[in-house]
Amino acid sequence: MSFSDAAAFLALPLAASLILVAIHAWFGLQVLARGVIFVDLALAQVAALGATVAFALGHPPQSAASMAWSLGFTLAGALVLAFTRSWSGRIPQEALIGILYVVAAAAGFLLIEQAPQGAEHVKQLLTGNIVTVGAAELKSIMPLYAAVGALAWGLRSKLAHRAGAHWAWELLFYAAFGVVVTSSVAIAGVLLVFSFLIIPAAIGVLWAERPAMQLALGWLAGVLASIAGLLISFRFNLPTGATMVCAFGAVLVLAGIASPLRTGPLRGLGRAARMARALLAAALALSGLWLIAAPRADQPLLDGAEYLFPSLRWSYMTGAEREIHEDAKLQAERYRHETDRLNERERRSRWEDRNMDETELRRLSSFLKSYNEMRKGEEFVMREVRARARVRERWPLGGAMLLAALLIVPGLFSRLRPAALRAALRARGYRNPPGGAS
Amino acid sequence: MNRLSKVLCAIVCACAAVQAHAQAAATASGSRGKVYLLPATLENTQWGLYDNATTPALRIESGDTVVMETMNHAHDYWTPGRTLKELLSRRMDDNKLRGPHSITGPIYVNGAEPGDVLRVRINKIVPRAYGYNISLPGIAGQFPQLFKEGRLRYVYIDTDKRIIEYLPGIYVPLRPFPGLIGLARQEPGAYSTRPPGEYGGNMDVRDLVAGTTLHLPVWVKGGLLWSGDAHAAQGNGEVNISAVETAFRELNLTFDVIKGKSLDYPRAETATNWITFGFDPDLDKALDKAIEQTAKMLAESHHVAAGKARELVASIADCRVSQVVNGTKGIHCFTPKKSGGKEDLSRPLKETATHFVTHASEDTLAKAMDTASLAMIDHIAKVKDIERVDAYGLASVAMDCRVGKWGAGGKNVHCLMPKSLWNAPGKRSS
Repeated sequence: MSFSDAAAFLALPLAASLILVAIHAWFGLQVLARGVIFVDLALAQVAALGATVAFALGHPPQSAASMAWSLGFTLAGALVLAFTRSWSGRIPQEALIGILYVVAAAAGFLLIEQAPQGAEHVKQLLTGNIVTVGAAELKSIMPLYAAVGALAWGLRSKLAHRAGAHWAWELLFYAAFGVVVTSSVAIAGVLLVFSFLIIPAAIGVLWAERPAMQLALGWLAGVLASIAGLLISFRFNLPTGATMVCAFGAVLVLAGIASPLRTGPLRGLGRAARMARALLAAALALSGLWLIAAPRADQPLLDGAEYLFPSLRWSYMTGAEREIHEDAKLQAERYRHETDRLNERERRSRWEDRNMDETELRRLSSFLKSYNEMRKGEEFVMREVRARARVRERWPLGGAMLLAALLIVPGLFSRLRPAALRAALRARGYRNPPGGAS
Repeated sequence: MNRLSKVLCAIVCACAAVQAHAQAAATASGSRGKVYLLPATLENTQWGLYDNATTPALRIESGDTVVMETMNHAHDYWTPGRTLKELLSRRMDDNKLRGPHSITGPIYVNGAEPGDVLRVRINKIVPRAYGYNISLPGIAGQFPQLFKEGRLRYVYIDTDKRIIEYLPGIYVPLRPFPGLIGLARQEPGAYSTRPPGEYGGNMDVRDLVAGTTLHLPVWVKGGLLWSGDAHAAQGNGEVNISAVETAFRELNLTFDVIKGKSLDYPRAETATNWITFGFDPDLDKALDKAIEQTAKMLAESHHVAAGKARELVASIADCRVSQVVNGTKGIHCFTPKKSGGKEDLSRPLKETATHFVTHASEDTLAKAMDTASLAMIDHIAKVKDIERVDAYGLASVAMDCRVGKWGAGGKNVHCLMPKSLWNAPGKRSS
């Protein structure tokens, strides 16, 4: 598929993501300020319960009736949350939010249990399907979000978190929030909507003090994470919702790692680099020791490095081991291809209405299992060859990792510099330390 | 060759049989015929049953070579990670006749007619790099009543060092051979792959290694050859019912149709020996059949009278217990091709510098085999301090049970276990 095809395919999901980021980042900042982090999940779950009731009553998902049920439930949930804020002195509101979430989820499961294809419905609610969003859906949510956005802007001082705020403003906030969540969960699913809401806002708060700057940074982070998630999902054929959630998580991690830069580019960069070196040195040292102690066990760092740079393993494998490893890899690939071929054959027989007889079907099913098993067998060979090579080379390999850790640990070299060494020797009473000019 | 082209090569190899017939891959190098690839795919394999009405997976001419691939048992479900319980529950259907073997074929050789002999030269064998040995709990094997607990042991087959570390510090030499290789039976219908017979089949003769040539009597038009039950190493007796079971990446066979040479039983030859076989549910009768076949071969090849040939067998043939676990048991005998030549006729009675030895003399060969092999299992378990069920498995993959003197005084079996198994690779003596 060419770049233009990919762009055409991803244009609408990206537009939907940008719209969702725009509105949710603002709500996210308010939610963080109120300290009700999981209110989104609770309201989304209440909205999902409304959609489930509609589904159980026979209304198709994303129909007007389904949206109405969902919205009704969400507004009821918002009402509960607005009124229960005054209980916060005795019961933390997070506890009430949690209760709302689990009761809504449990009630949803009770209903789903009675419905055919209920499991599929639950999956749809959790992960959504942003990749299939249509222009009509975008047209329907844009006026709604624009109205909510205008309301939020116009009443920003009233809706912002304040101690002793009147319950009516709280109710308006939660109702507006509920309306947004209801429509966004139908498009993107509970997990992704939570990410749109909390992660950009968290990044904004991490990096900036002023609300406007926080919002701007949240939008920027949300846009970058959305683009990265969609592209990765497209490139590696992964489920879009789950991939985007992971991309948002990764952007937050990167923002966290880079956060020392806030204190000034150079100073912050230096601190960040020292921290990264210290972390890397610790990881290398631990991995080296772990490799020496248990070479056959999982070696997360080495395995990860070999996954990214497969040729690393050739450094400790013999030529014969390498040949066996590559042969097994090739065979595993072949069995995967055979599995695809048989699946395709079975699918084609159904499309072409040429039903296989029972024996043929049983043989085909048996072979599908077989090829999966054979692939596992080849993976066993690859693991075994690698483990044997690691057992043999654990001392040089583990030693090299320890040495690398020593070389990159911050501060060690400065202590070993000749001048520093000489100064240390002088301090201990040596008049002419070796190599000294004076 | 880069990785992509290798993958494509493997895929092409697999797809070669999609239309249920393999493509001629290249002209043979070193043989006068063509070379065909026969991968183990859905279309080219069966599980546990032969049927001479099966559509051939491949049609070849006499003189052609086939590079075939075989699967592990039960359509290759026996791969590392599967538990004993899972393996025992694996079923294709409720057909009790079905054996455990996955077999590749059949190969139809144009021109082969009933009454002819099909000569099959085993050129090369390349096993996969993993396998297993299994002691079935109280179900099968030589001593199901004595070994109620099962044991499933997966092993890595080091094709580079040609060694299998069966247990920590115990190294079994890699010696691959097809446990099952044979032609279609004369009788129509489906029949189990389990018993060996005049058609060859599940002979489990550990000496059918690369370099050996098998002579099989043809019973139906085209011969219809199948192979499977790949073994990476096996003891004579295969006492716990399994060898180091694996699958073959490559089983390279060259086929020749021999006209005008009558044969009623399979026969094999190495560079120096003839190998004759005897199969019967009764081990003593299997020995009688092997002796009869050996005498017949001697009479033909050395031009001696039938009576004289039978007398010669006891003095020059070296008979081994092939297996005692396939329902139909097997004996195979080596006879030197050159007159005056002798196979390894040593039949020690007690431990030697190179082998642990057990010996039994009983009124029947079956009893002698039971006594001698169980004594070896117990001896190994004791002196090497390993679990008895593991000693059972080790005996199944490495013990060599030889038929000793037979006659009015009874039947003798000598079981030998090489001490070199306990030497790490590199320290192994010749």
